[in-house]
Amino acid sequence: MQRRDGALPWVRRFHMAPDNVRFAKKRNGLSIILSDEDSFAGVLNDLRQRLKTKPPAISGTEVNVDVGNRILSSSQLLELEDLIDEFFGVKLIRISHGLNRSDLSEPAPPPEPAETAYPGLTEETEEAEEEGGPRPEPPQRLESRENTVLIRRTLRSGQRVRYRGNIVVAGDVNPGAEVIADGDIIVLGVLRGVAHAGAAGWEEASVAAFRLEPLQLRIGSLIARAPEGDPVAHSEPEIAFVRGNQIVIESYAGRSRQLIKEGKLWVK
Amino acid sequence: MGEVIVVTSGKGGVGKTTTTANVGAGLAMSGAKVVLIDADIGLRNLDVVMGLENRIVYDLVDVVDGFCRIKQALIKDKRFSDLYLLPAAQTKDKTAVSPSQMKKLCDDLREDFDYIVVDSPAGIEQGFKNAIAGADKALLVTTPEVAAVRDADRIIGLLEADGLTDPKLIINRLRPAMVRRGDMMNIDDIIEILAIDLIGVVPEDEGIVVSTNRGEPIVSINESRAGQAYRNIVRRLKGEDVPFMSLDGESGFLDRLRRIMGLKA
Repeated sequence: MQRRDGALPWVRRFHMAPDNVRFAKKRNGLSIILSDEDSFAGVLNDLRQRLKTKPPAISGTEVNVDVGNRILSSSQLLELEDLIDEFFGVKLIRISHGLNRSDLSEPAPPPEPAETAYPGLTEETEEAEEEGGPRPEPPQRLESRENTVLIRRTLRSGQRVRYRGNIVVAGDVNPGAEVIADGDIIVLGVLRGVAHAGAAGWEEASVAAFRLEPLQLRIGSLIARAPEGDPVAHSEPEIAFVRGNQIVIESYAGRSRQLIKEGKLWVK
Repeated sequence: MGEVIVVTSGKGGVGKTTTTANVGAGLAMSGAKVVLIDADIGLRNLDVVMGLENRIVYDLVDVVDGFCRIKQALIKDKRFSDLYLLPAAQTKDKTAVSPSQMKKLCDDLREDFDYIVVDSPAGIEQGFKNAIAGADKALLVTTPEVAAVRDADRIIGLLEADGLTDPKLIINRLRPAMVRRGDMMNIDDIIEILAIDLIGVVPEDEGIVVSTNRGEPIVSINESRAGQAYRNIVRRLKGEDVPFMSLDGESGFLDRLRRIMGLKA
């Protein structure tokens, strides 16, 4: 992801304040802005220190983290999530890439919608950057979500599929495997690994499986994991989607079918 | 023309070396000409488990470097007929051998042996890649533990990518009492995730500790349950259809009756 400051003369060059970490209060929560100037590990450490010594209050439930000019790996993402969870007890974080950080003195309007930190997501954000000024809503790239790839085998630990569309796996997704789609994910088998639907920031995506027992579920910029000591036996097909800023899982045969009929789910 | 079998697992300590020793010895007991190769360079153990460590003169790296002929490095086991060991080097590491060198070595040995059993090191790096390079068939060893099964799953993916598409599973160190209590994964749980053919289940057996320390493969001991399991694995490898041992320990009346009548393994 390139920042082409030179091409936008009317954008004030962003000078880093000595702090690696800055906080900004938002309507529905808190915004944490991480500097570009240090390594991710260094900046994360600074964040931890700041949170320990002078934790900011948050008035809502959303924590938005601006990770600067970085693409985070999934383990870095996890570290960040754990840190936020530890200090705010909040599992909901939006990750943004701080494209329009020209002026930090005014509170920036909450970026909308946030992108997730996965490599290869640069097209829409670069377009937005060209126009300068307040960032318009990134195009949703409908066309990409009309493409679907079918994987006719079980994904084993360590295997990873990334596609700019929908993904159907005719097999299992074993723990340690990852499925990442810009669109929906459907597993005709048991999902035990990690699935990330709507990976480019589309929160109407969904994840469905014959048996939904994922290590971690991600839709758009939301991350969820099974509650501790989940004793519920999953014996029927289920579907996960976002409702009211949270990932919910419902029996596929039940309400979700109703939602589809009403055009509220899986239709865009 | 011989068959090259690699014994691998991903996770360390699940019983690859023990399996290599016992399957190899078992095959030799059944009349085949067998050579065992220890591919765990730098951390060799197969020689210890076979009780042949004090007879090592040349090793795998010497052979591959051309320092000696294969025959000079092979150690003949005195207890089993037609069983040989090619030990690993202890003073080198896994970069001392390349996959293509291993493949050539296996091809050379095929001429003279019915079975070549390769003991793979743990992990997925160079040592593992060397071990699978010349293999026709893979035996995947796991214990009934989540971490081991996770690693085994990874290995299956890597084996498939390398063309070894039909690995056979050995579940090692099963404790039926723990399975009954729900404290240990059962066979079906494991197969559900790994989804490959099961070729054997070896129960936890204190006799293994004794046998590996003494350097006497347990497969030759008739009274041992683990030994019996390995003997069954050998028979299945040779194509026989052997029913799985009942590992339950508590036998019902019918089981006991069957055993008295000699109808149960």
